[in-house]
Amino acid sequence: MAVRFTRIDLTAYPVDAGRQGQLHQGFCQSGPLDPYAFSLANLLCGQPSATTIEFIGGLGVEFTAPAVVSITGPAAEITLDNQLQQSWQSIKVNAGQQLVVAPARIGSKHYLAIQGGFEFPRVVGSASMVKREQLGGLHNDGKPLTASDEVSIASVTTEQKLPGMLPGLLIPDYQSSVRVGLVPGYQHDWLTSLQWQRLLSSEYTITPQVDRMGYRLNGPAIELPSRALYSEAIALGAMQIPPDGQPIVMMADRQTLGGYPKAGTIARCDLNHFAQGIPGDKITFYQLDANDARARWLLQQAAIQRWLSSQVCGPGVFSTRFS
Amino acid sequence: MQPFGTIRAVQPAGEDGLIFYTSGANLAAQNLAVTALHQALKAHRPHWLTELVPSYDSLMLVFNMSEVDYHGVYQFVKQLPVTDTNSQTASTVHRLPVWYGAPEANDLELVSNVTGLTAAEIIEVHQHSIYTVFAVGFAPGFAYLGELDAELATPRLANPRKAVPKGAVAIADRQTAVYPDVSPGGWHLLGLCPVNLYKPGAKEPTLMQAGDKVEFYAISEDEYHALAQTAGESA
Repeated sequence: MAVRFTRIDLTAYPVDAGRQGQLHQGFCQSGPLDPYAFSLANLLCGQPSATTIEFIGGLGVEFTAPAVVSITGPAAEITLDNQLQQSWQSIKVNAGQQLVVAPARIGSKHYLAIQGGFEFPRVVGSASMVKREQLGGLHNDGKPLTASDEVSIASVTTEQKLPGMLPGLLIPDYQSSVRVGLVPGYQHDWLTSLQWQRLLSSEYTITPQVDRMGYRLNGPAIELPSRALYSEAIALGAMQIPPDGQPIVMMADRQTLGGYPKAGTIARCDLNHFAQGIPGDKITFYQLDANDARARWLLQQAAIQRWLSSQVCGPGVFSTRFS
Repeated sequence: MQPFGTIRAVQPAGEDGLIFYTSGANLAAQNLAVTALHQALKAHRPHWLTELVPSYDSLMLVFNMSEVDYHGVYQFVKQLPVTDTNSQTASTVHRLPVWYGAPEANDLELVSNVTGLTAAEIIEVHQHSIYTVFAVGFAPGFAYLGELDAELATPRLANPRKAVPKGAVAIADRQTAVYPDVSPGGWHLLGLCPVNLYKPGAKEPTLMQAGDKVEFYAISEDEYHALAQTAGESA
Protein backbone atom coordinates (compact mmCIF):
# COMPACT_ATOMS: atom_id res chain seq x y z
CA MET A 1 0.00 0.00 0.00
CA ALA A 2 0.99 3.65 -0.28
CA VAL A 3 0.00 7.04 1.01
CA ARG A 4 -0.12 10.23 -1.01
CA PHE A 5 0.82 13.59 0.45
CA THR A 6 -1.87 16.02 -0.67
CA ARG A 7 -0.65 19.07 1.20
CA ILE A 8 2.69 20.13 2.72
CA ASP A 9 2.52 23.71 3.99
CA LEU A 10 6.12 24.07 5.16
CA THR A 11 8.21 20.92 5.24
CA ALA A 12 7.95 17.16 5.75
CA TYR A 13 10.67 14.52 5.54
CA PRO A 14 11.44 11.02 6.83
CA VAL A 15 13.13 10.34 10.16
CA ASP A 16 13.90 7.09 11.92
CA ALA A 17 15.99 6.51 15.05
CA GLY A 18 19.00 7.91 13.16
CA ARG A 19 22.40 6.50 12.31
CA GLN A 20 24.21 4.38 14.84
CA GLY A 21 27.97 3.88 15.03
CA GLN A 22 28.70 6.22 12.09
CA LEU A 23 29.85 9.41 13.83
CA HIS A 24 33.53 8.46 13.56
CA GLN A 25 33.24 8.52 9.75
CA GLY A 26 31.89 12.06 9.81
CA PHE A 27 28.23 11.12 9.25
CA CYS A 28 25.97 13.12 11.56
CA GLN A 29 23.63 11.30 13.93
CA SER A 30 20.39 12.52 12.27
CA GLY A 31 17.03 11.24 13.50
CA PRO A 32 14.11 13.05 15.15
CA LEU A 33 14.46 16.49 16.75
CA ASP A 34 11.90 15.46 19.39
CA PRO A 35 12.91 11.85 20.11
CA TYR A 36 10.13 11.37 22.69
CA ALA A 37 7.30 12.33 20.30
CA PHE A 38 8.93 10.19 17.58
CA SER A 39 9.15 7.19 19.86
CA LEU A 40 5.59 7.48 21.19
CA ALA A 41 4.18 7.93 17.67
CA ASN A 42 5.70 4.57 16.76
CA LEU A 43 4.66 2.81 19.97
CA LEU A 44 1.08 3.94 19.32
CA CYS A 45 1.33 2.05 16.01
CA GLY A 46 2.65 -1.06 17.76
CA GLN A 47 6.32 -0.75 16.72
CA PRO A 48 9.48 0.55 18.38
CA SER A 49 11.19 2.82 15.83
CA ALA A 50 9.95 2.61 12.24
CA THR A 51 10.43 5.45 9.78
CA THR A 52 8.00 8.31 10.43
CA ILE A 53 7.38 11.71 8.84
CA GLU A 54 8.65 14.71 10.81
CA PHE A 55 6.78 17.81 9.65
CA ILE A 56 6.49 21.51 10.37
CA GLY A 57 3.32 23.32 9.31
CA GLY A 58 0.13 21.80 7.91
CA LEU A 59 0.06 18.33 6.35
CA GLY A 60 -2.53 16.46 4.28
CA VAL A 61 -2.37 12.73 3.56
CA GLU A 62 -4.58 10.40 1.51
CA PHE A 63 -4.63 6.62 2.06
CA THR A 64 -5.01 3.96 -0.63
CA ALA A 65 -5.68 1.17 1.86
CA PRO A 66 -6.79 0.81 5.50
CA ALA A 67 -4.06 1.81 7.94
CA VAL A 68 -3.31 2.65 11.56
CA VAL A 69 -1.58 5.98 12.14
CA SER A 70 -0.74 8.32 14.99
CA ILE A 71 0.20 12.00 15.22
CA THR A 72 2.37 13.29 18.07
CA GLY A 73 3.93 16.62 18.90
CA PRO A 74 2.56 19.88 20.35
CA ALA A 75 -1.05 21.01 19.90
CA ALA A 76 -2.55 20.50 16.45
CA GLU A 77 -6.01 20.16 14.96
CA ILE A 78 -6.34 16.76 13.32
CA THR A 79 -9.21 15.78 11.05
CA LEU A 80 -9.97 12.55 9.21
CA ASP A 81 -12.51 13.30 6.47
CA ASN A 82 -13.46 16.38 8.50
CA GLN A 83 -14.00 14.36 11.71
CA LEU A 84 -11.90 15.66 14.61
CA GLN A 85 -9.24 13.26 15.92
CA GLN A 86 -6.93 13.29 18.94
CA SER A 87 -3.18 13.48 18.81
CA TRP A 88 -1.16 10.98 20.92
CA GLN A 89 -3.48 8.07 20.14
CA SER A 90 -3.85 5.37 17.50
CA ILE A 91 -6.15 6.38 14.62
CA LYS A 92 -7.74 3.76 12.35
CA VAL A 93 -8.03 4.95 8.76
CA ASN A 94 -10.07 3.51 5.87
CA ALA A 95 -9.01 3.42 2.23
CA GLY A 96 -9.66 6.72 0.47
CA GLN A 97 -9.79 8.79 3.65
CA GLN A 98 -8.04 12.15 3.99
CA LEU A 99 -6.06 13.07 7.08
CA VAL A 100 -5.27 16.74 7.68
CA VAL A 101 -3.08 18.11 10.47
CA ALA A 102 -3.03 21.83 11.28
CA PRO A 103 -0.46 22.65 14.00
CA ALA A 104 -1.40 25.41 16.46
CA ARG A 105 2.04 27.06 16.21
CA ILE A 106 4.24 27.45 13.15
CA GLY A 107 7.62 25.90 13.79
CA SER A 108 6.61 23.07 16.11
CA LYS A 109 7.68 19.58 15.01
CA HIS A 110 5.08 16.85 14.55
CA TYR A 111 5.35 13.16 13.79
CA LEU A 112 3.15 11.03 11.57
CA ALA A 113 3.70 7.33 12.21
CA ILE A 114 1.99 4.51 10.35
CA GLN A 115 1.75 0.87 11.28
CA GLY A 116 4.48 -0.91 9.30
CA GLY A 117 6.44 2.28 8.74
CA PHE A 118 7.11 4.46 5.68
CA GLU A 119 9.52 3.06 3.12
CA PHE A 120 12.41 5.34 2.14
CA PRO A 121 15.91 4.67 0.82
CA ARG A 122 18.34 3.81 3.58
CA VAL A 123 21.87 5.15 3.60
CA VAL A 124 24.54 4.44 6.23
CA GLY A 125 21.97 2.41 8.14
CA SER A 126 19.20 4.98 8.37
CA ALA A 127 16.25 6.36 6.40
CA SER A 128 16.52 9.80 7.99
CA MET A 129 16.86 12.69 5.57
CA VAL A 130 19.96 14.85 6.07
CA LYS A 131 19.81 18.06 4.04
CA ARG A 132 23.40 19.13 4.70
CA GLU A 133 24.79 15.80 3.47
CA GLN A 134 22.30 15.56 0.59
CA LEU A 135 21.37 12.07 1.75
CA GLY A 136 18.06 10.37 2.48
CA GLY A 137 14.55 11.29 1.36
CA LEU A 138 12.45 9.81 -1.43
CA HIS A 139 15.19 10.29 -4.07
CA ASN A 140 18.11 9.98 -1.64
CA ASP A 141 19.17 13.56 -2.36
CA GLY A 142 18.46 15.14 1.03
CA LYS A 143 15.35 16.91 -0.27
CA PRO A 144 12.07 16.96 1.68
CA LEU A 145 8.77 15.59 0.41
CA THR A 146 6.64 17.61 -1.99
CA ALA A 147 2.86 17.59 -2.33
CA SER A 148 1.61 14.70 -4.52
CA ASP A 149 4.57 12.48 -3.53
CA GLU A 150 3.53 8.89 -2.90
CA VAL A 151 5.32 6.82 -0.28
CA SER A 152 5.05 3.03 0.15
CA ILE A 153 4.21 1.48 3.49
CA ALA A 154 6.01 -1.61 4.72
CA SER A 155 3.74 -4.60 5.37
CA VAL A 156 2.60 -5.09 8.95
CA THR A 157 3.79 -8.09 10.90
CA THR A 158 1.07 -10.16 12.58
CA GLU A 159 2.43 -9.67 16.10
CA GLN A 160 2.07 -5.88 15.88
CA LYS A 161 -0.64 -5.36 18.49
CA LEU A 162 -1.83 -1.88 19.26
CA PRO A 163 -1.39 -0.56 22.78
CA GLY A 164 -4.31 1.02 24.63
CA MET A 165 -4.99 4.67 25.37
CA LEU A 166 -1.92 6.65 26.30
CA PRO A 167 -2.24 7.94 29.89
CA GLY A 168 -2.24 11.73 30.12
CA LEU A 169 0.91 11.66 32.23
CA LEU A 170 2.87 10.42 29.22
CA ILE A 171 1.72 13.28 26.99
CA PRO A 172 4.21 16.17 27.27
CA ASP A 173 2.87 19.54 28.31
CA TYR A 174 4.74 21.66 25.76
CA GLN A 175 5.10 25.33 26.76
CA SER A 176 6.54 28.42 25.07
CA SER A 177 8.60 29.07 28.18
CA VAL A 178 10.71 26.07 29.11
CA ARG A 179 13.04 25.14 31.95
CA VAL A 180 15.54 22.53 30.84
CA GLY A 181 18.21 20.54 32.65
CA LEU A 182 21.82 21.32 31.77
CA VAL A 183 24.33 18.54 32.46
CA PRO A 184 27.74 20.10 33.23
CA GLY A 185 30.48 18.62 31.07
CA TYR A 186 33.19 19.28 28.50
CA GLN A 187 34.71 22.73 29.27
CA HIS A 188 32.22 23.70 32.03
CA ASP A 189 35.17 24.35 34.34
CA TRP A 190 36.24 27.20 32.02
CA LEU A 191 33.24 29.10 33.38
CA THR A 192 33.81 30.87 36.67
CA SER A 193 31.18 30.04 39.28
CA LEU A 194 29.79 33.53 38.68
CA GLN A 195 29.44 32.82 34.92
CA TRP A 196 27.81 29.47 35.64
CA GLN A 197 25.31 31.08 38.06
CA ARG A 198 24.61 33.75 35.49
CA LEU A 199 23.88 31.11 32.86
CA LEU A 200 21.49 29.33 35.25
CA SER A 201 19.71 32.45 36.44
CA SER A 202 19.23 34.17 33.05
CA GLU A 203 16.53 33.82 30.46
CA TYR A 204 17.56 32.99 26.90
CA THR A 205 15.46 33.51 23.79
CA ILE A 206 15.45 31.15 20.82
CA THR A 207 16.57 33.21 17.79
CA PRO A 208 15.34 32.73 14.20
CA GLN A 209 18.61 30.83 13.57
CA VAL A 210 17.23 27.37 14.26
CA ASP A 211 17.55 24.34 12.05
CA ARG A 212 18.11 20.61 12.40
CA MET A 213 21.82 21.22 13.13
CA GLY A 214 21.41 23.58 16.05
CA TYR A 215 19.42 26.28 17.84
CA ARG A 216 21.08 29.62 18.44
CA LEU A 217 20.02 31.38 21.65
CA ASN A 218 20.21 35.01 22.68
CA GLY A 219 20.70 36.33 26.19
CA PRO A 220 23.40 37.49 28.58
CA ALA A 221 26.73 36.63 26.93
CA ILE A 222 28.78 33.91 28.60
CA GLU A 223 32.38 35.03 28.85
CA LEU A 224 35.04 32.36 28.56
CA PRO A 225 38.79 32.60 28.74
CA SER A 226 40.37 32.42 25.30
CA ARG A 227 42.15 29.07 25.31
CA ALA A 228 43.23 26.73 22.54
CA LEU A 229 40.90 23.82 21.95
CA TYR A 230 41.28 21.12 19.34
CA SER A 231 38.10 20.09 17.53
CA GLU A 232 36.34 17.33 19.46
CA ALA A 233 33.19 15.21 19.26
CA ILE A 234 29.91 17.06 19.84
CA ALA A 235 27.29 15.18 21.86
CA LEU A 236 23.54 15.49 21.22
CA GLY A 237 22.27 18.62 22.97
CA ALA A 238 25.76 20.06 23.59
CA MET A 239 25.75 23.78 24.39
CA GLN A 240 28.52 25.48 22.42
CA ILE A 241 29.76 28.91 23.43
CA PRO A 242 31.20 30.73 20.39
CA PRO A 243 33.33 33.88 20.86
CA ASP A 244 30.25 36.16 21.01
CA GLY A 245 29.11 34.30 24.16
CA GLN A 246 25.66 33.41 22.79
CA PRO A 247 24.95 29.68 23.23
CA ILE A 248 24.23 27.32 20.34
CA VAL A 249 22.58 24.02 21.28
CA MET A 250 23.60 21.25 18.91
CA MET A 251 20.78 19.05 17.63
CA ALA A 252 20.23 15.86 15.58
CA ASP A 253 21.96 16.94 12.34
CA ARG A 254 24.93 18.65 14.06
CA GLN A 255 28.39 18.19 12.59
CA THR A 256 30.33 15.44 14.35
CA LEU A 257 33.33 17.56 15.44
CA GLY A 258 33.68 21.17 16.48
CA GLY A 259 36.15 23.48 18.14
CA TYR A 260 33.97 25.79 20.24
CA PRO A 261 34.04 25.26 24.01
CA LYS A 262 30.94 23.62 25.47
CA ALA A 263 29.38 24.32 28.88
CA GLY A 264 27.43 21.07 29.03
CA THR A 265 24.53 19.29 27.37
CA ILE A 266 20.75 19.52 27.55
CA ALA A 267 19.42 16.64 29.68
CA ARG A 268 17.78 13.97 27.53
CA CYS A 269 14.64 13.98 29.70
CA ASP A 270 14.04 17.64 28.73
CA LEU A 271 15.40 17.57 25.18
CA ASN A 272 11.95 17.16 23.62
CA HIS A 273 10.65 20.29 25.36
CA PHE A 274 13.69 22.25 24.21
CA ALA A 275 13.50 20.84 20.66
CA GLN A 276 9.90 22.05 20.32
CA GLY A 277 10.93 25.65 21.00
CA ILE A 278 10.40 28.13 18.19
CA PRO A 279 11.96 31.57 17.64
CA GLY A 280 10.90 33.91 20.44
CA ASP A 281 10.34 31.13 23.01
CA LYS A 282 12.06 31.56 26.39
CA ILE A 283 14.51 29.05 27.84
CA THR A 284 15.94 28.86 31.34
CA PHE A 285 18.37 26.24 32.55
CA TYR A 286 18.80 24.33 35.81
CA GLN A 287 21.80 22.24 36.72
CA LEU A 288 21.22 18.50 36.49
CA ASP A 289 24.23 16.29 37.08
CA ALA A 290 24.81 13.33 34.77
CA ASN A 291 23.62 10.78 37.37
CA ASP A 292 20.36 12.63 38.05
CA ALA A 293 19.76 13.21 34.36
CA ARG A 294 20.20 9.48 33.71
CA ALA A 295 17.86 8.61 36.61
CA ARG A 296 15.14 10.88 35.22
CA TRP A 297 15.52 9.39 31.77
CA LEU A 298 15.24 5.87 33.24
CA LEU A 299 12.07 6.84 35.13
CA GLN A 300 10.59 8.18 31.88
CA GLN A 301 11.45 4.87 30.18
CA ALA A 302 9.95 2.87 33.03
CA ALA A 303 6.68 4.81 32.80
CA ILE A 304 6.46 4.03 29.09
CA GLN A 305 7.17 0.35 29.76
CA ARG A 306 4.45 0.22 32.44
CA TRP A 307 1.92 1.59 29.96
CA LEU A 308 2.99 -0.92 27.30
CA SER A 309 3.04 -3.94 29.59
CA SER A 310 -0.32 -3.06 31.14
CA GLN A 311 -1.96 -3.01 27.71
CA VAL A 312 -0.13 -5.44 25.47
CA CYS A 313 -0.81 -9.14 25.92
CA GLY A 314 2.23 -11.36 26.22
CA PRO A 315 5.84 -10.23 26.31
CA GLY A 316 5.26 -7.28 24.02
CA VAL A 317 7.95 -5.08 25.47
CA PHE A 318 9.77 -2.75 23.12
CA SER A 319 13.07 -1.10 23.60
CA THR A 320 12.68 2.64 23.28
CA ARG A 321 16.24 3.68 22.86
CA PHE A 322 15.48 7.18 21.67
CA SER A 323 12.74 8.50 23.87
CA MET B 1 36.82 11.58 37.61
CA GLN B 2 40.57 11.33 38.13
CA PRO B 3 43.12 11.22 35.31
CA PHE B 4 44.94 7.91 34.76
CA GLY B 5 47.63 6.55 32.42
CA THR B 6 47.72 8.66 29.27
CA ILE B 7 44.35 10.25 30.15
CA ARG B 8 44.81 13.79 31.44
CA ALA B 9 41.10 14.55 31.99
CA VAL B 10 37.66 12.95 31.76
CA GLN B 11 34.41 14.93 31.47
CA PRO B 12 30.75 14.06 30.93
CA ALA B 13 29.54 14.55 27.34
CA GLY B 14 25.89 14.30 28.27
CA GLU B 15 24.47 11.74 30.71
CA ASP B 16 25.20 8.98 28.18
CA GLY B 17 28.70 10.01 27.17
CA LEU B 18 32.21 10.61 28.47
CA ILE B 19 35.04 12.43 26.73
CA PHE B 20 38.60 11.35 27.47
CA TYR B 21 41.44 13.84 26.87
CA THR B 22 44.94 12.46 26.32
CA SER B 23 48.33 13.71 27.41
CA GLY B 24 51.59 13.64 25.48
CA ALA B 25 54.71 15.65 24.67
CA ASN B 26 53.13 17.04 21.49
CA LEU B 27 49.99 16.71 19.39
CA ALA B 28 51.32 13.66 17.56
CA ALA B 29 51.90 11.85 20.88
CA GLN B 30 48.49 12.90 22.22
CA ASN B 31 46.83 11.65 19.05
CA LEU B 32 48.74 8.35 19.27
CA ALA B 33 47.29 7.90 22.76
CA VAL B 34 43.78 8.55 21.36
CA THR B 35 44.37 5.88 18.70
CA ALA B 36 45.63 3.39 21.31
CA LEU B 37 42.55 3.90 23.52
CA HIS B 38 40.28 3.75 20.47
CA GLN B 39 41.84 0.45 19.34
CA ALA B 40 41.59 -1.05 22.83
CA LEU B 41 37.89 -0.12 23.08
CA LYS B 42 37.19 -1.51 19.61
CA ALA B 43 38.95 -4.76 20.54
CA HIS B 44 36.98 -5.17 23.79
CA ARG B 45 33.75 -3.59 22.51
CA PRO B 46 31.49 -3.79 25.58
CA HIS B 47 27.79 -4.44 24.87
CA TRP B 48 26.71 -1.01 26.15
CA LEU B 49 28.99 0.89 23.77
CA THR B 50 27.10 2.82 21.04
CA GLU B 51 29.59 5.38 19.63
CA LEU B 52 33.33 6.03 19.68
CA VAL B 53 34.41 9.36 18.19
CA PRO B 54 38.17 9.99 18.18
CA SER B 55 39.62 13.42 17.44
CA TYR B 56 42.95 15.24 17.83
CA ASP B 57 43.48 14.83 21.58
CA SER B 58 40.16 13.37 22.70
CA LEU B 59 37.88 10.38 22.38
CA MET B 60 34.13 10.58 23.04
CA LEU B 61 32.44 7.40 24.14
CA VAL B 62 28.63 7.11 24.08
CA PHE B 63 26.89 4.35 26.01
CA ASN B 64 23.41 2.87 26.39
CA MET B 65 22.05 4.44 29.58
CA SER B 66 19.76 1.48 30.32
CA GLU B 67 22.75 -0.81 30.71
CA VAL B 68 25.43 1.20 32.47
CA ASP B 69 26.13 4.58 34.08
CA TYR B 70 29.18 6.76 33.65
CA HIS B 71 30.87 5.42 36.79
CA GLY B 72 30.76 1.94 35.29
CA VAL B 73 32.08 3.21 31.98
CA TYR B 74 34.90 5.13 33.68
CA GLN B 75 35.95 2.06 35.69
CA PHE B 76 35.83 -0.11 32.56
CA VAL B 77 38.06 2.26 30.59
CA LYS B 78 40.44 2.72 33.51
CA GLN B 79 41.15 -1.02 33.82
CA LEU B 80 41.24 -1.57 30.05
CA PRO B 81 44.60 -2.96 28.86
CA VAL B 82 45.88 -0.37 26.38
CA THR B 83 48.72 -1.45 24.11
CA ASP B 84 51.85 0.69 24.24
CA THR B 85 51.35 3.23 21.48
CA ASN B 86 54.99 3.04 20.35
CA SER B 87 54.68 -0.61 19.45
CA GLN B 88 51.87 0.02 16.98
CA THR B 89 53.10 -0.70 13.47
CA ALA B 90 49.98 -1.86 11.65
CA SER B 91 48.58 1.52 10.52
CA THR B 92 46.89 1.52 7.11
CA VAL B 93 48.83 3.70 4.65
CA HIS B 94 47.02 5.53 1.84
CA ARG B 95 49.09 6.85 -1.10
CA LEU B 96 47.08 9.63 -2.73
CA PRO B 97 47.92 11.04 -6.19
CA VAL B 98 47.58 14.81 -6.64
CA TRP B 99 47.43 16.92 -9.77
CA TYR B 100 49.08 19.96 -8.18
CA GLY B 101 48.05 23.30 -9.63
CA ALA B 102 44.85 22.01 -11.27
CA PRO B 103 43.03 25.18 -12.44
CA GLU B 104 39.85 24.44 -10.39
CA ALA B 105 41.88 24.16 -7.18
CA ASN B 106 44.88 26.42 -7.41
CA ASP B 107 45.81 28.80 -4.59
CA LEU B 108 49.55 28.20 -5.08
CA GLU B 109 50.15 31.90 -5.68
CA LEU B 110 48.33 32.89 -2.48
CA VAL B 111 50.25 30.26 -0.51
CA SER B 112 53.45 31.51 -2.11
CA ASN B 113 52.68 35.04 -0.90
CA VAL B 114 52.13 33.82 2.66
CA THR B 115 54.99 31.33 2.92
CA GLY B 116 57.60 32.88 0.63
CA LEU B 117 58.08 29.50 -1.08
CA THR B 118 57.85 29.02 -4.85
CA ALA B 119 55.04 26.89 -6.29
CA ALA B 120 57.54 24.08 -6.95
CA GLU B 121 58.79 24.24 -3.34
CA ILE B 122 55.22 24.18 -1.95
CA ILE B 123 54.45 21.05 -4.01
CA GLU B 124 57.72 19.46 -2.91
CA VAL B 125 57.19 20.19 0.80
CA HIS B 126 53.58 18.99 0.75
CA GLN B 127 54.70 15.58 -0.59
CA HIS B 128 57.56 15.35 1.82
CA SER B 129 55.70 14.32 5.01
CA ILE B 130 53.87 11.17 6.04
CA TYR B 131 50.65 12.46 7.60
CA THR B 132 48.48 10.95 10.31
CA VAL B 133 44.66 11.05 10.18
CA PHE B 134 44.07 12.98 13.42
CA ALA B 135 40.29 13.03 13.05
CA VAL B 136 37.46 12.36 10.59
CA GLY B 137 34.60 14.82 10.71
CA PHE B 138 33.15 18.12 9.46
CA ALA B 139 31.57 16.15 6.58
CA PRO B 140 31.42 12.43 5.76
CA GLY B 141 34.93 11.15 5.02
CA PHE B 142 36.70 14.48 5.64
CA ALA B 143 40.04 13.51 7.22
CA TYR B 144 42.12 16.06 9.11
CA LEU B 145 45.77 15.20 8.35
CA GLY B 146 48.73 16.43 10.34
CA GLU B 147 51.10 17.76 10.82
CA LEU B 148 51.92 19.91 7.84
CA ASP B 149 55.49 21.19 7.68
CA ALA B 150 55.65 24.48 9.61
CA GLU B 151 57.04 26.13 6.46
CA LEU B 152 53.66 25.59 4.77
CA ALA B 153 51.45 26.77 7.64
CA THR B 154 48.84 29.17 6.25
CA PRO B 155 45.84 30.91 7.78
CA ARG B 156 42.33 30.25 6.42
CA LEU B 157 40.98 32.30 3.52
CA ALA B 158 39.46 35.66 4.51
CA ASN B 159 36.44 34.78 2.34
CA PRO B 160 35.64 31.06 2.43
CA ARG B 161 34.59 29.51 -0.88
CA LYS B 162 30.94 28.53 -1.24
CA ALA B 163 31.89 25.46 -3.26
CA VAL B 164 35.26 23.74 -3.05
CA PRO B 165 35.49 21.07 -5.79
CA LYS B 166 35.36 17.39 -4.93
CA GLY B 167 38.87 15.98 -4.45
CA ALA B 168 40.45 19.37 -3.70
CA VAL B 169 43.69 19.00 -1.72
CA ALA B 170 43.83 21.78 0.84
CA ILE B 171 45.94 23.19 3.64
CA ALA B 172 45.20 25.33 6.74
CA ASP B 173 47.41 26.01 9.76
CA ARG B 174 49.50 22.86 10.13
CA GLN B 175 46.85 20.59 8.61
CA THR B 176 46.06 19.24 5.19
CA ALA B 177 43.00 17.45 3.82
CA VAL B 178 41.20 16.25 0.71
CA TYR B 179 37.58 17.41 0.29
CA PRO B 180 35.56 14.18 -0.21
CA ASP B 181 32.76 16.05 -1.97
CA VAL B 182 31.77 19.52 -3.10
CA SER B 183 31.42 21.65 0.02
CA PRO B 184 31.98 25.15 1.36
CA GLY B 185 35.50 25.62 2.66
CA GLY B 186 38.05 28.15 3.82
CA TRP B 187 41.32 26.30 3.25
CA HIS B 188 43.92 27.11 0.57
CA LEU B 189 43.84 24.66 -2.34
CA LEU B 190 46.90 23.01 -3.88
CA GLY B 191 45.40 20.67 -6.46
CA LEU B 192 43.02 17.79 -7.14
CA CYS B 193 43.05 14.15 -6.05
CA PRO B 194 41.13 11.67 -8.27
CA VAL B 195 40.60 9.03 -5.55
CA ASN B 196 37.05 8.55 -4.25
CA LEU B 197 37.21 9.12 -0.48
CA TYR B 198 33.52 8.74 0.10
CA LYS B 199 31.00 6.24 -1.27
CA PRO B 200 27.68 6.72 0.57
CA GLY B 201 26.23 3.34 -0.47
CA ALA B 202 29.29 1.22 0.32
CA LYS B 203 29.75 -1.03 3.34
CA GLU B 204 32.80 1.04 4.33
CA PRO B 205 31.59 4.41 3.06
CA THR B 206 34.74 6.36 3.93
CA LEU B 207 38.28 5.50 2.88
CA MET B 208 40.28 7.05 5.71
CA GLN B 209 39.95 6.28 9.43
CA ALA B 210 41.49 8.07 12.40
CA GLY B 211 45.00 6.72 13.00
CA ASP B 212 45.67 5.88 9.32
CA LYS B 213 48.74 7.28 7.53
CA VAL B 214 48.64 9.27 4.29
CA GLU B 215 51.27 10.13 1.68
CA PHE B 216 50.76 12.39 -1.35
CA TYR B 217 52.53 12.08 -4.72
CA ALA B 218 52.39 14.32 -7.80
CA ILE B 219 50.74 13.21 -11.04
CA SER B 220 50.27 14.94 -14.40
CA GLU B 221 47.01 16.30 -15.78
CA ASP B 222 46.70 13.30 -18.14
CA GLU B 223 47.27 10.82 -15.31
CA TYR B 224 44.66 12.69 -13.25
CA HIS B 225 42.01 12.39 -15.97
CA ALA B 226 42.77 8.69 -16.51
CA LEU B 227 42.53 7.96 -12.76
CA ALA B 228 39.42 10.13 -12.35
CA GLN B 229 37.71 8.14 -15.11
CA THR B 230 38.57 4.82 -13.43
CA ALA B 231 37.37 6.14 -10.06
CA GLY B 232 34.13 7.36 -11.67
CA GLU B 233 33.47 3.91 -13.15
CA SER B 234 34.05 2.10 -9.86
CA ALA B 235 31.93 4.54 -7.82
